[in-house]
Amino acid sequence: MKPSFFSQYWCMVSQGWRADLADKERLITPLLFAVTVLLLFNFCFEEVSKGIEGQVFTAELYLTSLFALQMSYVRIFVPDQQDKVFSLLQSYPLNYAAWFLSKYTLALIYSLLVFVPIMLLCALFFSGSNLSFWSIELWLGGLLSIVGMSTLGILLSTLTLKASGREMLFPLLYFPLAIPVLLASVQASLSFLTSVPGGWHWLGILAGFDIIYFTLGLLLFGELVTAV
Amino acid sequence: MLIIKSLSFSFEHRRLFQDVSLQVEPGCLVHLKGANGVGKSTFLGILAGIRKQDHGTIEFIDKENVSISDIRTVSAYLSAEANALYTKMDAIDNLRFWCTLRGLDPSDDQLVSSMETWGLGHRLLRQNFPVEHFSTGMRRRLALARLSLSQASCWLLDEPIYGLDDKGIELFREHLKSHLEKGGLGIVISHDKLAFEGINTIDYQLKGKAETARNNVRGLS
Repeated sequence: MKPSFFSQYWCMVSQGWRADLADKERLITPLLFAVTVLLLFNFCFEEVSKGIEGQVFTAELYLTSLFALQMSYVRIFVPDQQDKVFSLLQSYPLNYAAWFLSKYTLALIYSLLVFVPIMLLCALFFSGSNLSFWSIELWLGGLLSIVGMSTLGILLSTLTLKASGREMLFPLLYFPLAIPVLLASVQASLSFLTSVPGGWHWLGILAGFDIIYFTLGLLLFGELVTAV
Repeated sequence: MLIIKSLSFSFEHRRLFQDVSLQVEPGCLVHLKGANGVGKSTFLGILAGIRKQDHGTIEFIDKENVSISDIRTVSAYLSAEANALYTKMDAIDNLRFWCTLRGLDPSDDQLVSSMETWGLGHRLLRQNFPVEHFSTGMRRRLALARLSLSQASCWLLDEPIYGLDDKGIELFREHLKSHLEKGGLGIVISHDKLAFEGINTIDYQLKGKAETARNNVRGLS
């Protein structure tokens, strides 16, 4: 019986989710890290002058996200690396697109689990400001940044799967490649927060990079897992 | 029938084996032999789809005489040093996951029955008991239960009785015999002949480096 694309996709997503729930440390650590970083930021900055509130908010939000999500992405294959599960997956008639999409879905879920609380916490810290935290555009920018960073995370996590010093190599590759996504997200968010025109232009650029990274991920994933 | 033609593989500029041709017919079990480091596990890994060969082809001809180039759809692989189990999850979840991934939809009864067959029948072992608490032999039994549930025609087994006790080895032999009687075939690596005692095997000596290993193995049935 030939397994369907969707059954394999769903099977991988549910297994990945249950494997992570069984070992909650992987889910909780990035969030705890993000909360700690935000608290440190706020402790250091204390009172932020009105003119730069938007800049500080976006810097805190996206820098914290970048570092915390990197922790999630680098561990996305950890359950599969135990007991040579990954090797057996390679020996199964598994559709590579279904495999990639399942990992991507999990990365999106983990990213949202980190990004949404960070966003809310940031909004809480800046509650005395005039910034508009609840605009749909601002959240759309955040979502699009997650879409791009998740693809990049999966792609690089696969690429560095068997690399020695993986924990070092991953951020070295991830940070420079995430710059276009980060730059567009920050600029778009800043525009929407401070009601300066040009936000949609940056969102368009962000969406463009998301499509490029997603296409690359979908096309390269099969090659990368067979090369491991 | 499994047909391997002129398979060659090099690892970091070192040629492991070259031009290996092998034909395994239904009901036939090939015992892959060779010195340590000659590339037996690598050879099996290539057949399983874990590694890519430098040259050569692997083809499977099914009962309807249809040629299958991606033999992952008809083969089941068991690694030597690991059982490929999600250790934080329980036995039933593990079995169900691997079956679903293969396109099978076994009932709970089938999964439980398979575990019972392999001596893992105690209900406390099945659910809400992570596999990480299993002993080495119990994990191997669970991996073998997955193998027998796979409905795969071609078994690729690397040291299959590792960690098994006498009863476990006996169970393994029974399942292997039944698999071959049903028209399945297999390639096994084992330094312990107990693994297939009482089962007809055809020895295949894998030669290393630049030596040419060419030998056609035909089935017993």
